[in-house]
Amino acid sequence: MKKSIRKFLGIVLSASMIAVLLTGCGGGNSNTDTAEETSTEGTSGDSSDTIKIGWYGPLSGSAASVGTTGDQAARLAVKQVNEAGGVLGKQVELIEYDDEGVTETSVRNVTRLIEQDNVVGIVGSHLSAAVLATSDINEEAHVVQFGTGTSEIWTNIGLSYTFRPTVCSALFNQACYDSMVTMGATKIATISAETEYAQTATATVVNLIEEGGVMEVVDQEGYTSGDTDFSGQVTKILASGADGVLLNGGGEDLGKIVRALRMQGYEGYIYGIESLADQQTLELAGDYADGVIFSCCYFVPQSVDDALTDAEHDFLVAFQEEYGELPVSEVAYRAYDGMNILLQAIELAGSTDGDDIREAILSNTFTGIAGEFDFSDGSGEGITSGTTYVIDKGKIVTFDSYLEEIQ
Amino acid sequence: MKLRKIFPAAIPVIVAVLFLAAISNNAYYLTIFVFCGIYVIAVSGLDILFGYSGQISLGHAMFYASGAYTSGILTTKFGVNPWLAILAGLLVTALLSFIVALPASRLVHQFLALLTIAAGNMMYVFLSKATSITNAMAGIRQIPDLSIFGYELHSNLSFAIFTLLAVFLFLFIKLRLINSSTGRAFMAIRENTTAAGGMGINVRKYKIMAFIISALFTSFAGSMYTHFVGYISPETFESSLSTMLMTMLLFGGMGNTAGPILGAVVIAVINESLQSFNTYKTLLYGILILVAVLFMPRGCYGLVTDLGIKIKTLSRKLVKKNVKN
Amino acid sequence: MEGETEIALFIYKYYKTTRGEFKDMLLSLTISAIVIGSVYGLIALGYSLIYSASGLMTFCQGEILMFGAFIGLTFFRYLEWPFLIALLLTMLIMFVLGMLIERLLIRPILSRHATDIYIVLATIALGIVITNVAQQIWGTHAVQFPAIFGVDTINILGTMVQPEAFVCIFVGAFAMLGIHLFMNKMKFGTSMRAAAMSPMAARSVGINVDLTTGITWGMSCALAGVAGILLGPVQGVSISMGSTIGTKAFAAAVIGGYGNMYGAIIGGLIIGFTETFSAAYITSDYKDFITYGLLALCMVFLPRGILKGDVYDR
Repeated sequence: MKKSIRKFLGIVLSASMIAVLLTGCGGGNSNTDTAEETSTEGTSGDSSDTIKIGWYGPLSGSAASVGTTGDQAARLAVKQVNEAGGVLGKQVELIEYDDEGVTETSVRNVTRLIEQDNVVGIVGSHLSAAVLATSDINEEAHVVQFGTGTSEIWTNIGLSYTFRPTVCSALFNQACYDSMVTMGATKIATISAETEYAQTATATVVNLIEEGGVMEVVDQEGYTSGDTDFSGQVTKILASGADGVLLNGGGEDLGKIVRALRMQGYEGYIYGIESLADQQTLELAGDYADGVIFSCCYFVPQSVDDALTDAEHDFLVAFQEEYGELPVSEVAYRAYDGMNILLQAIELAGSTDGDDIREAILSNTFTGIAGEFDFSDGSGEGITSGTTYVIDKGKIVTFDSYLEEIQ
Repeated sequence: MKLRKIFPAAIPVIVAVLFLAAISNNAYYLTIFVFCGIYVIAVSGLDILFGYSGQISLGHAMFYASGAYTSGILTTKFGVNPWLAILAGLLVTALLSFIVALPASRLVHQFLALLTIAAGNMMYVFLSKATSITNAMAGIRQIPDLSIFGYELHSNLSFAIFTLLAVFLFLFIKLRLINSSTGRAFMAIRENTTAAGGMGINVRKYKIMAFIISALFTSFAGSMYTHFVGYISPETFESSLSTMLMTMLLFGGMGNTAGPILGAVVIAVINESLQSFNTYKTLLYGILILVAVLFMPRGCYGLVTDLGIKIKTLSRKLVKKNVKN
Repeated sequence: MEGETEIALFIYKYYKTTRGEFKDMLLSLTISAIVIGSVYGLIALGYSLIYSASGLMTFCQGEILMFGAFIGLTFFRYLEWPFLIALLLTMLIMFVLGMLIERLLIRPILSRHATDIYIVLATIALGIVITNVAQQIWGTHAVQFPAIFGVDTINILGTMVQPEAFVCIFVGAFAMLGIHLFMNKMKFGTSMRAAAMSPMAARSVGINVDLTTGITWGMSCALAGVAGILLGPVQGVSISMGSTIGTKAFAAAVIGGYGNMYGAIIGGLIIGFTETFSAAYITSDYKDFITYGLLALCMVFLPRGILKGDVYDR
């Protein structure tokens, strides 16, 4: 009898604890809770005095460095808009959540942003898997999401409220293949991380190589993010006689691999896409980075003065002023563009309704660091521009100027 | 007497139902409710293994994954009915846990923990590399909803109701198991393995059995997760999930019914409320585990019962005083 | 006739090239395997040290290594102090950190006779805390630790090796011998082992058990700090640098025989060889799967490891 009372006591206490904790965690913004009570049914947030925008992405875990830089850029964009008077006459409030790079948490974050915080729009993770997983939620709720991942897995899968504020990496893969052809490579070896992004990118280029018939793939290697030793893979690649190596993965790991390749005596070119432009790759590879060729839309230069366009220059100046350093990755550009387009679209739509915002995005063009965005085809893609760069004597130069120089 | 027996069991049911009704129009709270329910089932399973039969596992993410992935793969690639897929997931998990339990039943303490960690890591590598089976890091998406008699559990509310039923079902199974001869054998092994063997209990058989039953609970939780979220990818099933399940169990208090519920719910809710702390979130989570390990030897449940005893003795004293006066 | 010659020629060429490459590759792989194996072994020593002196398993050696690397980086790169001072100071700080961990975390748990799982979880949680503290202090970027010896690579039998990694072989061997002799021949060391086998009995013969276990934790943390500094130039310093390598080194310690110093280094080499060779000859995708599989197999068939480590059933 005593036992059952204890059991009962325990369960009741647990239930009451849930209630207390739940109300407790909502307590932080209790004044908005009451507003939400009245507006849960209709279009969200019109009655509140700020426009809420959500951000989610990895702020801890292995992708944290890039995630943090994206978050900083998003915050900067909001700050600038607020200083200029806000949107629809209201201040913009940014609500940020850390998803630890785990898709399950992303799903919870986005649910919370939409259902609990009633955000008007979302700027999402640079990890495409997270964008893909959460797209079901924001599509169903008719909330616009700008996913900052570049993988092509979430294009053309019938999403209508999910947009990409940067260039899809499919384009870079083509450019990467072209650069291999230009440099006269014949035998290509690949090393790719286990991530979806790296796997898709490598598979695309390998397909192009096989279809092209000019080159052959002599060796395909893999690694796991965070690996410390690549000697097995590198030795095998050297033994395969490859004269071109394609690298795909995260910036932190690629630096180590470039270093290992060069140290073991690999002298050919190293090819890849935007992740090779990551500041961490350059930091870790140091002098060994020479001869790395990558295709991307933009990259973070070593100093503000090296910025290629005015838009980029202005952003970098503002970013440095705010945070005391340059962004570690061009993911900052993506998040900044995404946030600005979203806020402009809300202003143009004149409403915080998801469908109106979507219409505004589709029917207007926007200018960002990446260039001119035009989302009118409804695919979620707004821009196609890419350039190939080479690291030569410690400097990043365009592929064309490099070709002229060596000829 | 009969009424009195039913009463304590009915109260939590009523409380839970009322609570669910109270949050029924908030999709976010419902989501957390469902996650709590999923964790309660998984942690209760772990409790059967660790709390009742005394075997450690730091690789339960492996069984969560086998349930989740079997459901996900069968329903999306082969169009199997979700319920059949869950059943298949249970079968796959039973087989997998049997393979792990066979050597595991010979090991004790830290070495058992190690073996399960190694097995869990192997599962993770497999999930993240076997593109043709698991679709690797791209994950599996568009997993269909569960449906009951043609009614799709698409809305969060319907899934939350289903979760509540599933939790009651599994807690009922757990209680029945614990109070059966099997459960008593488990506890005998936990208290003194040698003595249990001497008493004629087939220690190895029961150890393996505890492992499989525990894995089945977790597998079902994994399948529920799959159908609720509709998307799975390997990073959910990293070793940190195993650690979290273990933390929930230790935090709540093991070897009883309420402990795993308390642990799962409190940790899940705390994790959720820490969201607004951004980069400090994982730091606070780590500190929380340390606090639990350092200062709560018997978990929340222990705290609650200790408190109960204190109140009782205090009230007795007061009564005595009153009587004296 | 012509066809036959062609085939013979082809076979000859194929044979020659593959044999030639095979030989070079084998040598190169062996050298790489020894180098990375020593790194694993060096870290594995820390695990074994704690186990042989207290019968406990720690799960945060990788994170402590990362922390040590960052402290070393701060002194050496940011404050530009001489390497030796940076190294010694790092070791000192790490030693104190280890003592503190033992004093504030491990001892309170042990003192209430909790099961081992609490220590396991406590160290896992400590790992989470250390990682996040490091993130708050040094940020999330990966940074390069400058070359310690002024040169980036040295040539060993045709294979280019980083000197810092090469030094790991000697540091590992030296530490292995030193700790082994210390634990078995010196009075303080034997008292440590006595403390691990039976704290109660050790206490009764006048051994200061608290001090000995504290010092072991300090030593193992200092060792991890050294490993972190040596690894810095090889793979860069970042908050996630320790997680993978820590787990691998753990596997090394178990395979070699948990608690046995020679076993730690041998286990490290086994993991090094398995990884490097399976990456080159089997599949680099499932490299980790094979490593963990080896660990699991070892747990099943050789639970005490190759060199029969001490098993304390507490």
